[in-house]
Amino acid sequence: MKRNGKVLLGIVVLALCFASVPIVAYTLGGWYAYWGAALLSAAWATVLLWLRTTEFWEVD
Amino acid sequence: MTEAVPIPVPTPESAIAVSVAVGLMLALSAGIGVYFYRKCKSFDEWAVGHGDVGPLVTGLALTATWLSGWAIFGNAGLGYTYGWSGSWLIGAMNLMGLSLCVVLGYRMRRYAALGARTVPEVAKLRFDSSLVQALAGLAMVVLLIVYSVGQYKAMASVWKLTTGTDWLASLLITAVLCAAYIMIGGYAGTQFSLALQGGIFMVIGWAFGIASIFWAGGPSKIAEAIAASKFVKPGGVETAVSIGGYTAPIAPSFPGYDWLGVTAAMIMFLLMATGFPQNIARFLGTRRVTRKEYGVIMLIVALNCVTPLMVGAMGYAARAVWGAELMGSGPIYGDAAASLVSMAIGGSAGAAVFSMAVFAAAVSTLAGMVMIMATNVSRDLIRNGTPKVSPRAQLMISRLLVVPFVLIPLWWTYTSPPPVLSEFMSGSAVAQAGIFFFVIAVSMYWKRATKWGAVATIAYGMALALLHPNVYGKFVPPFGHWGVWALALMIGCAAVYTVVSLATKPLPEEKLARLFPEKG
Repeated sequence: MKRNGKVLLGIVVLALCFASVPIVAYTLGGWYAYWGAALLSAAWATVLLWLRTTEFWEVD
Repeated sequence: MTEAVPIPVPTPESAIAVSVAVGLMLALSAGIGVYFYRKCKSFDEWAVGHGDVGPLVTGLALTATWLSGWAIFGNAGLGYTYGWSGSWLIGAMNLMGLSLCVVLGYRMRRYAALGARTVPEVAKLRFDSSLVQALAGLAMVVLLIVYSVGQYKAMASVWKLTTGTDWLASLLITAVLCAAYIMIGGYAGTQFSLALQGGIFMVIGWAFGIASIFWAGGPSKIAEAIAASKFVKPGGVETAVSIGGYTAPIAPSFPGYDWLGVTAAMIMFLLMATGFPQNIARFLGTRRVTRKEYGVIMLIVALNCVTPLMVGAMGYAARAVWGAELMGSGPIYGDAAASLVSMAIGGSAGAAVFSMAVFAAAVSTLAGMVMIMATNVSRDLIRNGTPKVSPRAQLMISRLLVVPFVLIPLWWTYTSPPPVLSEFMSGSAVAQAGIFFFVIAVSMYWKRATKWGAVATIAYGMALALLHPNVYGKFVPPFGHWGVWALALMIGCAAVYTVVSLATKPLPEEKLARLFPEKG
C-alpha cells in the first residue's frame, strides 16, 4: 500500500474508533459501553503507534 | 448481597497501617529525590535531568502525572454520584488522549536539545518570542493552581477517612509531606519517583477495581443497581433524575447532561493529555528511543490508562452496595467511595494499600505541577525579564517557590473544597486542553503557526475560562451549559490559533530551519 493510502486508512480507523464510543454508549449502554470505550481506545492507540513508527518516525 | 454491608469507619489499626504505608511510599520517593539531589548541580539539571531517561521510566512517569487524584480517587466519586453518565469524566476513553500525547510529545526532545528547559521555553524557541513564553508561563500558573486543589482534596480526604484525623490537620500533613519531597528532588528525582508511583497505583488500582466488582455481587448486580438509581444531591436530597443512562439531565453545568456535553467531554479528553504541561514536559528529559522502546512507552500508557476505569468501577460497586448514603456527609460526599470500598474489602491493610496508591497518584501529579509552576516563574518570568540572573540563583528561587505553590491551593482546598472532585478539575482541564494543545503541541508540527496566533489563543482561552458555568457563565447564556462552554473554548482556541496564524507573518525560513529540519 502506498504511504498516502496507509495514512488515510489509519485516519479513517481513528475516526471510527472515536465516533463509535458514544454510539456504543447510546445503543448498548451499561458495562458494554464502559469497557467498550477502553477497547476502542486500545485500537486507537495501536493505530497511532503503527502510523508513528512506520510512517512518521523521527530520528535525531 | 443478602445482608447489609456496614460503611467502614476509621480505627486505630487503620490509622497506623495508613500512616506506615503512606510514609513508606513517600520515604522511598524522597530517597530517590535525595539521590538525584546530590547529582543535581545546576538549574538545567534540576529542570530536565541529563536527558537520559529511558522508555520504562518515561512511560510510567507520564501516566503518573496524567492520572492524578482525579483518576485514582475522584473517579469512584463520579461513578458513585452520577452513575453511567459519570463515565465521560471518568475518562473511559482517556487512552486516546494520552496516546496522542506520546505521539506528539516526543518532539519535545528536539527543543530540549536546543536549550528548552520548561514548556513555555519551547514556545519561546518555536516563536522566537519572550512574550509568548511569559504569557504561556502565566496561564500555566493560574490553571495549574486550580488543578492542584483537586490533589489536596484527594489526599486529605483519604487521610481523614482512614485515620480519623480532622480536615485541617489532614490537609497540613499532606502539604508538608509534598513540599519537602518536591524541594529536594527536582526533575530527575521527580521523574524516577513518578515512575515508582505510577507503577504502584497501576497495580493497586487494577486489583481493587476487579475485587470491588466481585465484592458487590458481580457486574450484572451492579448494572441493575445503577439502572434503578436516582441522582442524589450533595447533602442527601434525592431527585427524580435517573443515573442509569449515559446522559443524565441533572443540570446544564454537568458534562453528562446531554450529548453535546458528552461530545465536549470526549474532545477534552482527546486534547488535554497533550495540553497538560506536566505531561508533555516528561519528554524534555527522555533519551532517544528505538521503535521497539517507543512501543514499550505506549504499552505502559495503555495498561495504566485502564486504572481510572477500575477506580470508576469501585464507585459503581459502592453505589450498588450502600445506595446513596455517602451523599449525605460532607465535605467528601461520594468521593469517599473508593477509600471506603478498599476498607470494606481489605480492612486496615486494604485501607493502607489503597491510601498509598492515592497518595502516589496525587503527590506525583502535584509534584509535576509544582515543578512546572516554580520554573514558570523563575525561568519564564524572572529570567525572561532579567536574563543576567545566575543559574544558581534560578535554582534557589525555583526551590523556594515550591512553598507558595504548595500553600495557595492548600488554602483554597481548606476554605472551599469542591463537592465533586473530578467535575471541579475538568474546568481547568478544558482550558489547558484548548490553549496548550495548540500553542505547544500543534506548533511543534505546523510551520505556519505564528507568535500572534499563540498570543491570541492564550488570551481567548483564558477569557473563555472565566465563562465556566460555575464562574461567570451562569450569568451569560448560553455559557451556563457546560458542553457549549467547553466546545466554545476548545474549538474557539483552534479557530483563533489557525485564523490569526494564517493572517500574520511566520518566522523567516532560516529561523524555522533548525526547528523543522528537512528529512535526510
